[in-house]
Amino acid sequence: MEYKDYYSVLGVERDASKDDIKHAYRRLARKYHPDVSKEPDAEQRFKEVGDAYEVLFDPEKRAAYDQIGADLKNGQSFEPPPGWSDQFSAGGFGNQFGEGDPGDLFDSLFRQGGFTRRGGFQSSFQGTDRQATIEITLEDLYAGKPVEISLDSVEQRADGQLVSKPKRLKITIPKGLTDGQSFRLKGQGNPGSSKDATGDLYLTLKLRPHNLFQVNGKDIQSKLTIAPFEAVLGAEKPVVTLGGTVNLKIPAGSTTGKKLRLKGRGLFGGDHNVTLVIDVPREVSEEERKLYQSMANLKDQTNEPV
Amino acid sequence: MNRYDVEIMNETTVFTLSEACRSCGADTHFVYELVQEGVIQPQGDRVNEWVFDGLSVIRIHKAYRLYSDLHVNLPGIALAFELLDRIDQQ
Repeated sequence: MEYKDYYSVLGVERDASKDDIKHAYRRLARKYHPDVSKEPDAEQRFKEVGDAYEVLFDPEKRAAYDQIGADLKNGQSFEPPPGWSDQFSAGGFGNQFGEGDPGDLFDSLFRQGGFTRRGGFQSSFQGTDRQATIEITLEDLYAGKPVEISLDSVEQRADGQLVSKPKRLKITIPKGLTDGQSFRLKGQGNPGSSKDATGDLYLTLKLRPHNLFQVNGKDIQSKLTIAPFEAVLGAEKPVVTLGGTVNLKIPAGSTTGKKLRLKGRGLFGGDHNVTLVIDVPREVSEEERKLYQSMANLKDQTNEPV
Repeated sequence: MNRYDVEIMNETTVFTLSEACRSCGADTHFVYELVQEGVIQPQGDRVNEWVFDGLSVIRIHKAYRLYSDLHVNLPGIALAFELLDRIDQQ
């Protein structure tokens, strides 16, 4: 099992007071809350911070956690002492709300028994509907590629015991949906008392950051670097778009910041807007330097302001 | 090939007040206060005639997560939404 240093997750010392822990938790919960955070791994961090808080804020759980050993480092593997899970076991109603993987420290040590998580991101609702986020790359969304998601769901076994079982769904995202938009899958939420009473599943799309493109609704934005002479004389340059490379005509006399539109080359009929950036060469060859010099001389002779 | 019953949450999706509440576990008072704060705007004059579009329902979900995860109160939620909307516009 991998050891997770909850003190470093919250950024507090091992002898931190309850108040310190609460303050650190509240600050980090705000920072990483998936609804307000722009951090790429916000959801994961938010869950981690919540786990750390739940363990360290409760004196009993904190004492138990400290027993594991102050010498262990984050990520180091360790064997929990025998009887660990028994210590926290309050009956057979254990794991059913488990969300993490089997190697998750929190799940294995603190969720075996009666302790269940308060107020995690996924668990803020009490109804039978569920909410989740689908992370997808821009390319996959453009291609309409089905996405597979895995959700924990509770199932009742033949002997009546409730068990957690991952539920996999392969979803085709409705065409035209883009970043931040949501859709509902009817009858894919939590089970109710009857088949008809099953809740719905609300999914919100979240585009992963792209290294070339910025997405604004259905429009795509990218930058194109051009040389000073291309800006002055005009040029034709290849531009990578979602649908492939196209040639973009740059008019003579273009300036940095000029926006050129490739109509219909964005997502689902949106546009692809290219912003020009003139790249001033930092180093020039002797020959180029002479050419720039003669341009400068020419400007002097014609008395035009430079 | 979509085997699921899919509904896009947009301007044309219609939810009643109780459907909107059920979809996230919020109570009617919470949604009522969100309306008072101007975070969402229902259609219909009287409370028992209120209907919400899909975008409003998603805002209710988000508001309820902020409320239950971060203990933000309703004026705080309204302020957060105003700032988040401003960030999105940039």
